[in-house]
Amino acid sequence: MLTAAVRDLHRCHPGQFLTDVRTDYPQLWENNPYLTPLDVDEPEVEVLECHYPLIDLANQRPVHFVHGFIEHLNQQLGLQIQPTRLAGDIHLSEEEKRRPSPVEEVTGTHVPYWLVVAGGKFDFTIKWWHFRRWQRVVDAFRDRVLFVQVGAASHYHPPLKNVLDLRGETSLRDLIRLVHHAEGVLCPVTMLMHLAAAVESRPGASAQRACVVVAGGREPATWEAYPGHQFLHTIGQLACCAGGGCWRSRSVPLEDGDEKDRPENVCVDTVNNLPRCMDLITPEKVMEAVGLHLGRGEAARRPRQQAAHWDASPFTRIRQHEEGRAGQARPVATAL
Amino acid sequence: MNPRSTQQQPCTLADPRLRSDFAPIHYPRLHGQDTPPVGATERNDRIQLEFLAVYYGLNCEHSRLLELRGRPAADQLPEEEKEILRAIERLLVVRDQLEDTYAPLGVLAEPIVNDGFTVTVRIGFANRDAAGRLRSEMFTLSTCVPVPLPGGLRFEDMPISLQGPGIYPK
Repeated sequence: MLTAAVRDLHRCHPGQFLTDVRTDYPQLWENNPYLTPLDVDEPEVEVLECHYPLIDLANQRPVHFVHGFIEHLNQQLGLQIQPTRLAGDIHLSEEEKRRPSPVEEVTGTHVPYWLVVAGGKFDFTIKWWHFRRWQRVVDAFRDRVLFVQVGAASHYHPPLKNVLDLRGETSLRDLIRLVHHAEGVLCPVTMLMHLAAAVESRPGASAQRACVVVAGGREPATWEAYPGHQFLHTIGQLACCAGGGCWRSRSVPLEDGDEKDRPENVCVDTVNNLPRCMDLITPEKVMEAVGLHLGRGEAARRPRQQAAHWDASPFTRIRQHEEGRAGQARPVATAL
Repeated sequence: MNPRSTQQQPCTLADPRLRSDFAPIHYPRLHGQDTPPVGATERNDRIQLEFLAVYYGLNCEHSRLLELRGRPAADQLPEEEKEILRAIERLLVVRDQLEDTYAPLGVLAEPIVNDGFTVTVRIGFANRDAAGRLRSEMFTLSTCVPVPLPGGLRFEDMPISLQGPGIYPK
């Protein structure tokens, strides 16, 4: 989200600042036109620690995450920066735009696809939906859409069936290119949701990329949702998120010694270990949201019969790709 | 856990190693770890034992099925085969219930299969990394990189700014 603040600083105060960043994620800043290499030891250079304390008021004020860093910069620099776009600011190089999508590199042909994230990091497990629910959604659109599963190898991303599995195989730049070419994104509240809004679409695609977010009741939609996204939440539907997001961390304690296991950070209302707010979001609701988006995508314009014929080659290649991975078949599927 | 939770407990899966007819050849290994002892009570150990028990059961039934199908046609009893297939189905339901119950804990149990038998189960947990360390534990990695200076130069006189422990000793 800091990319949005730097963009809007320059748009609102053109020519007044030179900016550079020190960040754990420099790949997000590649090709960014608002950066100038600066030496922090130069006397004219001022170093600002950037935070978003506004998040503490997200349940009370009508503010979005995009406002977070902007308001902090305004306070530190005495400015009046305003958001110019409700999205982050990620840039692709011309070479990256010219290259085929990572999916096309696997399948050998242009395939419209959606990205799916079926898990997340271990710190905020309360954001996870159940993997069988993700699977039901994927299966429901099996003959209409190719879902490409992504996620970091070191995080929790249960393998889904009937997807192109790119878990653990993408750098951050690869992920950005995947988003650039994707028709849609299906995910919990996670970085991919922010990328879905921040990364420009490939030429010929809808400028507003489809995105369905399974959000539950942790965070207020006003803080997280982007225009055009289907942000499926339960704020106001349960006692624990009646007046805003609960901002808790975990569905159940993980017993890892982390403070996120403390009672005040653990969900107070679970169903089979799943937060009730996530349980209320049924696969059918998500299917409906995806279906609404598909009404305007390339996949929807393909006649169904043509799709089956047209899909044969790419899916054969996907199977070859899968067989090359270390994934294992279920044992009894073989026995039966 | 939480007072308002309506959590369902998984089916009880007794440790097959306690049974008189236990067949060690069908008991899968744990990937990269020792199998917990009988009666282990630590949560991760218990979860591992439950998955091992269900895959042991599947291996036993699979073995029975192979034995049945290897008999002469006249000795193959359709009812017996159906009974084995039903047992396999029941075990698969139990396996799915385990996966469902423990998914919110970040448990991933992946069987590694050889000729239809699960020989190893790779089980990951949210609270421990692949090396068995608690994910919340801080650990450091350090290395020593000697960089010889040109003759006559002192480190303090170098026109560079480095920060970190051991650099610029006062």
